[in-house]
Amino acid sequence: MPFQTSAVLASWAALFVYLELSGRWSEFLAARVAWIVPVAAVLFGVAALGQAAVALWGGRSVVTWSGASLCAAGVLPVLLVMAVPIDPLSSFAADRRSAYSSATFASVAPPKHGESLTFQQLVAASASAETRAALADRAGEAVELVGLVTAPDGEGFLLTRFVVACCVVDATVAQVEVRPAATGPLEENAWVRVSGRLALGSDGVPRLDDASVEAADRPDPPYLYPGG
Amino acid sequence: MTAQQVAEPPGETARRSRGARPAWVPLVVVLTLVAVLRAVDVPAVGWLNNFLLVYVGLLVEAVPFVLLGAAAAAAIEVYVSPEAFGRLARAPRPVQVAVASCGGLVLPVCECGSVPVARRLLLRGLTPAAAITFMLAAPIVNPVVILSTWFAFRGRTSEGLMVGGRVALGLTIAVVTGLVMARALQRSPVAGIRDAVGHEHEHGATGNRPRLFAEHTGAEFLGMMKYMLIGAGVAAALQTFIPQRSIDTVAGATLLAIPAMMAFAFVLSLCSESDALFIASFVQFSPAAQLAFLAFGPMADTKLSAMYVGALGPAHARRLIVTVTVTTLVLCLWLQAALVVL
Repeated sequence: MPFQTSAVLASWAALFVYLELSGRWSEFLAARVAWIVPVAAVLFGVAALGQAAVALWGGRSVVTWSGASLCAAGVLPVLLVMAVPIDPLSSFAADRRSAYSSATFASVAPPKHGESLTFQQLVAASASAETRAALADRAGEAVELVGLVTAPDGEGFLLTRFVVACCVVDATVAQVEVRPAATGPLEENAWVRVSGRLALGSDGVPRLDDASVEAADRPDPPYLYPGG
Repeated sequence: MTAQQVAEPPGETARRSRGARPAWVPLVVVLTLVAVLRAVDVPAVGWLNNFLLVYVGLLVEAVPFVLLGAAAAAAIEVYVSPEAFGRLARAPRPVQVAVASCGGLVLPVCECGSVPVARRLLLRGLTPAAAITFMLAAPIVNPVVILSTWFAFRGRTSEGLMVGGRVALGLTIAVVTGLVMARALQRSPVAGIRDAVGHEHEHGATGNRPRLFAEHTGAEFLGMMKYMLIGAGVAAALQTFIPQRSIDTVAGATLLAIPAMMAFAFVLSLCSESDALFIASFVQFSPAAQLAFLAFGPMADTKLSAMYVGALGPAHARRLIVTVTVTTLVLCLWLQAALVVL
C-alpha cells in the first residue's frame, strides 16, 4: 500500500510546512527544538515522494481495511491541528501541572539593578534565597507582566504562564499572585497585561499589589522557556 | 513477498476476499470525527482541549524521530550486507552486548527511533541480548541526552551523580534486561520476526536498493506509527486526568518515592532529551528517586509499551517491561541506601 503510505507521509509533510509558515509550532514546541519543524517537513516530503515513486513502479495495489484504518488514523492528528481550533495550555492544565521551580534551571539569574524584572525571576523567589534577597531590595518597584488569569477570587487572581522545555507534554506552571487596585469581574483564561507594585509576602514570595489589569493579546510564543 | 505484505496482519487477505468492510469507511469516520470536533467549542471544554493539545504535541515532537528510526532500520536492512551481520553475530555475546550498549554514542536515537532500529537488528541476526541492550541503552547513553542531563543539573552538588548515575543505571538496566530477554527470545522467538528474516534476505540480494529502501521505510514507519498513535492517546489521557501535583505527596516517603517516580515517568512519556529538564524541578525528591525517573522513563512508558507490543509481541513486551521495572527498582533502592550511608 505505498500509495496510502505516501498520502500519510505527505499529510505530515504538509502539517510541518503549515506549522512553520503559520508559526503555530510555538503552541506545541519550545524554541530550542523548533528546528524539528523544517527538518521534518523536508524528511516527510522526501519520504512521501519515495513512496509515491514505489507506488508508480509497483502498479495497482489493493486497499485493505486495516491499511485504510491505519492511514486514516495517521492523518487524524494532521487534521486535528489544521482543522480543529485548539488553544494553548490553560487553567485546566494549571490546576494539574507541577509548579515550575527556579531550581530546575541554574541559568535563571537573580535580578540586577536597573533591569526589568521577568516573570521567571519573580517565580524563582519561591525556591531561591538569593533571588528573594535581590527582590527584597526592589520592593515597591513598578512591574509589568503578561499572563493568563487563573483562580480569580474576590481579592485577586494568579497570573499564570507555562514553562516548556521541549514540548507541551513537559510544561510546568509559573504563577504570580496579583491583587488589583480595583475589583471587577475577571474572566478565567483571559490574557491580561498587569502593571503593579512589587510586594513581598511574609515568606518572601513576591506578588503584585495595586495592580491595573487590562486585556492583552496572547503573546507569541505563548509559553516561557527555561532560563529565558 | 513484499514489505507491505509483511506489515499486513494475518487474516487480512481472507477478510478482504469476503469484502465485508469497505476500505473508505475509516476515512469517513475520521472526517466525521473532525467535523464533530469543529462543531464543538474545544477550547471551552478544558479536558478536551488539554487532551487534544497534549496528544498532538507529543506526536509533533515524536513522529519525525519515528520516521528517522524507520529510515535507519530500512538502511540497515537494505544497505548493510548479510555478511557483515554474519561476522557481527559470530562475535562472542559479551562483545556484542558491550558494543550495543554504547551504540547510542554513534547512532544517537531517542526511544521512538531505537525501537524500529533494534527490531531490524534482531531481524538481521544480531543476538537478541545485543539488540535489546541497544534499544534500551541508546536513548540514555547518547551525547545529546548526556548533555541535556548535565544542562538540567549543572551548578548543583548532585550534578556529577545525576549525569554519571544516569549513564551507569541506563547501561546496567539495559544489559541485565538484554540478557534476560535473550533467553526468552531464544526460547520463543517472535513469529513475525522469524518469517520476515528469510524473505528480506532475498530482497537484499536481488532487489532494486533505492526502491527496497523506500518500501521498507514506509512499511516500518506505518508499523510503528500504529502503536505510537495508541501510546500517545493513552499518555494524553493520563496527563489530562491524573494531576501531576499528586506526586508531591510521596516525596518524603523514601520507599514510596522511587516507585512513584517510575510510575510518573511511565505516565508522562517524556522524550529522553527533555526529561532531565523537567524532573530537575522536583527538588523535594532524593537524587535516587530522580534517577529512577531518568533511567526508567526512556525504557518504559506509555507510548513505548505500545511500540514494544508492535515490535516484539505482547508476551515479550510484558516480560521486557517487568524486567526493566524490577531492575530499576532494585538498583535505585540500593542507590538510595548507599547515598544515606555515605
